[in-house]
Order: sequence, then structure tokens, then C-alpha cells
Amino acid sequence: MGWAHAAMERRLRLSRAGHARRVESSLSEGRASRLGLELSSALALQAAATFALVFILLSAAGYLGPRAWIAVPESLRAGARSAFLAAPWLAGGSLAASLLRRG
Amino acid sequence: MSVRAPRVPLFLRSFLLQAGFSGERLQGLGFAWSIDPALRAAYARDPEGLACARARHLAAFNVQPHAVGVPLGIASQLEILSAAGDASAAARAVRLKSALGAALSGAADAFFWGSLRPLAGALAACIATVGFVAGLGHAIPAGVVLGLAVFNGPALAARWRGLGLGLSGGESAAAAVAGLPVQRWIRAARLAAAVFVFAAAVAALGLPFVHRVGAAAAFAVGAGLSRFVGGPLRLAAAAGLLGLAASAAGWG
Repeated sequence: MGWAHAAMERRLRLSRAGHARRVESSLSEGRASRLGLELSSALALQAAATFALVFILLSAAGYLGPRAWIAVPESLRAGARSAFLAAPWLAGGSLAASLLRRG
Repeated sequence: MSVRAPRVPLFLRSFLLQAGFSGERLQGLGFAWSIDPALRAAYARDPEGLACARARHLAAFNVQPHAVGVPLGIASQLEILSAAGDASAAARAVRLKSALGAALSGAADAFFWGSLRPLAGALAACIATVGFVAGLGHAIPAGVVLGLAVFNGPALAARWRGLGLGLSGGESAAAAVAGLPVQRWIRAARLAAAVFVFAAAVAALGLPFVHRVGAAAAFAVGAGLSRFVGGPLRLAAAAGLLGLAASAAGWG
């Protein structure tokens, strides 16, 4: 989900260059600044895109996840459960060591 | 000079600094939106000057979001001077804003993302785990609330006080910020975060559903690999390999 959101965010950031240019052109033509309007539209698009992405990916994961879980061999399921239990401990040890090293 | 920049609207608007982030102007749109109340106060009787000032602050700008207070305050103060007749103040505002953004970002990233955020997370985990093991009610929400407070308290204070410093001190605020003992704060926060991670881990070993040997081994492996295995994806891969090994050993 992080990868998909990062790709979406990159596209949004590229498309947002137009907001500042529209504000500049309205200022140079002596019209109202449109700052609020442009910022609101950027925010609205971001919120809508994030909602759509999260909704689609969670729906897909909710549908496919249980089916894929049943399909994999038991040894892999047991390994995944162990990995899930070990992950916070690995991360904790890694975090503590890196904090001490850089400190 | 009787014009004063309105501090509260500047502070509130600065939370939207990132809202219009683009690859071309970075936070330029958000900064222009944030500084707008100060520009409207400064150029209240000069619509052309206001339009020029608004266009000036749409230029590319980037700073660590929690450190925006100082450049925002200084730029506001210099725009007020410019509106009052200081011919070079507007150019100084643009130059100083840009230089400060780059200079502050390194230290502020190291402090807020590299030290304060791990400290807040470690404290939250420590309070939640110790409280849960001790059987205290609401231990997990208490840990979450405390963690959020530990991060957001200094972050909000830095934004508010930085803005006040910039508004009151103008250009001299840059020198005041440079004198802050940020490296000492970073070292202290990292040490405290490491202590809380250890405390949370020790407390979690007391949980009935934790396989103590496996957990302690994973913690030690994580610490040993920290120099080589950075980032959540590689840690997840390491967890997967450990999981497979544990499964093969019959621990799954």
C-alpha cells in the first residue's frame, strides 16, 4: 500500500505545478489571488485520491487475503505467523542499536 | 512602524504548508498561503504591492514543516518593512527565507524525525507494555496519548515560538536559532528513546503469550543487523527469514 501511495503522490506532486502558475497568472492580470481556491482544490484531490486508493487496496486485500492464506502450504503459514511475531522484536532491537550508535 | 503581522492566523495557516507541495515549487504555494495575512496587513493600502508580494512568495521554498515558524516570521517582518519603504527588504525576505529553509531542514529533520519521533514511539510502546503487564486499565490508550503529546508538544512549541521569534526579532532571529543546542537535544532524545525501547522489550518478555527465547533472539538479531539492515522492508524480509527458520525448528 505504501508503494502504491508513493506512486500516486508522485503523480499528484507533478500535477500540482499548475496551481502556483494559475495563481501567478491571476495576480499578473490584476484578478483575485485564487490562493485559497487552488490550495483547497489540491487538498480535495489529495483526500479523494488517498481515500480511493486505500478503499480499493483494502477491499482487494480483504477479498484476496483469506483466499491466498488458505491456498499456501501450512509450513509457509507457520513461517508467516512466526515472522509476524518476530517483526516487532527485530525492529525494536534494530531501532535501539541504531539510536545508541548515532547518539 | 505600527503594522503588526497577525501571529495566530500565520500560525494556523502554517499547518497547510505541505498542502500544495509540488515537484516544481515544493512548499511555495503553502508558504504563500501561510504568509498571506501578514502581506494583507502590510500592504493594506497598496493592492499592487500586495500582488507583487504574493507572487514573490509563490517561488520554490522548502523547509522541515515543524521549523517553518522562523522563516515565516522573518519573511513577514521583512515584508512589513518593505511595505513601509525599505527598498531592499523584499529581496532580503526572499533570500533569507530560502537560506533559512535549507539550513534549518537538516537540523530539524535530525531532531523531529530522527530523534523526537522515535522517542515518542518508544515511550508510547513502553507505557503501553508496562501498563498492560502490570494490569493497569487503559494502558494502551494512555501510551498512545502520551506518545502523541511528547511529539506534538515540542513540535507545536517550535512552530509557535519560532514564529514569535521571527516576528519580534526579524533578521536577528536567524542568529538566535543558530545558537540553539540542537545537537545536545538530539543526543539526549536518542539516548532516552533507546532506554524506552529496552524497557518496553524487557516488560514485553513478561507477557504470557511471548516466546521468551525466540523474542530475545529476534531482538538481539535486530540489534546486530541494524548496521546492515535498514528500513522496514528489509526488516520485514529478515522477519520472514527468521519466521521460516522458526517454522523449520517447530516453533510456528
